[in-house]
Amino acid sequence: MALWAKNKANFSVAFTEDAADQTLLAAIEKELAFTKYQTFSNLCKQALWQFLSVSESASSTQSFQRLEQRIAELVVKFAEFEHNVSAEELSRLEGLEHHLSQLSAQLDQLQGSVNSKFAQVSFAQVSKVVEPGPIESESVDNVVSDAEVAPPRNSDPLLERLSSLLPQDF
Amino acid sequence: MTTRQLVPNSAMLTQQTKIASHKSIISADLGRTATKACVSRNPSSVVFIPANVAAMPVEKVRGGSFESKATDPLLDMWLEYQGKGYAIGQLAADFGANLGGADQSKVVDALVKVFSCAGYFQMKGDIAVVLGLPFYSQDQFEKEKEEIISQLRSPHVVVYRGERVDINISHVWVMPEGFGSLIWCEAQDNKEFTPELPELSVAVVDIGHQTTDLLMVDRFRFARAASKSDSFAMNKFYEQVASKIPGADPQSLSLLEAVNKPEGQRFYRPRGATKPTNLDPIIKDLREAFANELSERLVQWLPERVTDVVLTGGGGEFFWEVLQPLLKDANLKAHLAQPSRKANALGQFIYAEAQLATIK
Repeated sequence: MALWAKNKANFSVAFTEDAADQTLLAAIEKELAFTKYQTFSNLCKQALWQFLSVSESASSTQSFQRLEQRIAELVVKFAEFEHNVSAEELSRLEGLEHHLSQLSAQLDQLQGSVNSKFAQVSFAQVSKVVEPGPIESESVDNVVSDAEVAPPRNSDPLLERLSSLLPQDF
Repeated sequence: MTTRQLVPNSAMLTQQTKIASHKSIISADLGRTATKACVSRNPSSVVFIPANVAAMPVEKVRGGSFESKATDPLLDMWLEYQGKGYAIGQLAADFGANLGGADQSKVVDALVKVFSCAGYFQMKGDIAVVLGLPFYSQDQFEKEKEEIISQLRSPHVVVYRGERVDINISHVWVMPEGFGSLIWCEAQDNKEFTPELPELSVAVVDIGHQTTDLLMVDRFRFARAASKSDSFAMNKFYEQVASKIPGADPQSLSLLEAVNKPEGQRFYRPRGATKPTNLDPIIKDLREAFANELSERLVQWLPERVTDVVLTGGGGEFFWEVLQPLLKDANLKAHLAQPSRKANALGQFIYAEAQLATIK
């Protein structure tokens, strides 16, 4: 306040009888009566501060520094966060990769078993076709003899006898 | 990532016909000192793999991969599974792995042991597996059976002695230890039993290293409530033998081996001793007393309806001569399953064959 009072430059404001000026004057009087500004000069200055957006250099340097510091902190925090997230992501990815490679190995085996099942089915079809004339084609003959390498199970008397005796499960 | 299509390729169609129509079977008797395994009914094909298993980092187990593959695979058995390395048998013993203790369930390492059998017999693709478990109680048997089945029945990728093997275990059967021996007896075409086995109430006594399995079987029906496994077994005998020799280790594979040799060849030198000990006089003294205790325990358990007793397992043969007269005194017909250490694996194999035939 003291600083304001010492100010040498004086400006005057003229209010006319104009309705707009009178309304403004009334508002000024009301403001001076109810608020801390006390003098018209003070009120004008406050209004001009706001209207002209003059920077309060002294206090703003401080707050700038505070802001800068805060931003620096945030940058560090963000970098930490980013690091954590990426480590987490990496281990998750590694887990997924491991899982995938296991799955693909299993898939390989499934493929094998599907293939062999398919071979079984198609072999059954081939042998059905062959039954009426077994010496028709050489290649089919090969397949049949291949399959006969396996011992014909149903003709094993021991297994026949045992399968009626043995429990299915213990 | 590569894309895959589940379509049969033409090469497979011709190559796999043989495999598809005849599934491979591995029968493994997971013994406390050795796994007895076979893939056929031929007794001479049964392999004995010492039961030691050592889990270790893959890099360490791979150490031997540059050694010649021509070395006896039984002395250099190792595999990799799901990022872990395992040494099996003598190699594991060299790495310091002991035989599993009494409190260790046979479920532990069952998967690795089955893989080692598959590797040894060079099997891959679809495989059916049949195993035996001691019958401590119905609950425990059921629990361990489920555990083993859930571990085994699945596709697996194994690296056996440096080579990748794809195995798909499609069937798993678990039977009480000792039952295989009974099936093996029935499979023999002789007049050992009168009337025939399927008409009889039989006690199967499988004297193993850690357990003596006492199975009651009526006309081939397993009587679960009357069966049990007793912890009085060969290991107690080895302890008694070892206690007579200064510095002897009752867990030593060499001691076990020496005890099971024919009379006149039983010599054992404990580490640090300069002279081997002749075990014959020690065994002579101990065997009778031990057989008496076995017989007493057996008679305590033996259900009244039993007419025939089948002895099997390593201990069955070892105590046969001493036990036989004791059983005869009790008016029981004694039989020895032979070859006694292989009978379980062989009988189990036939069981799996019979099961597969009914599935087909």
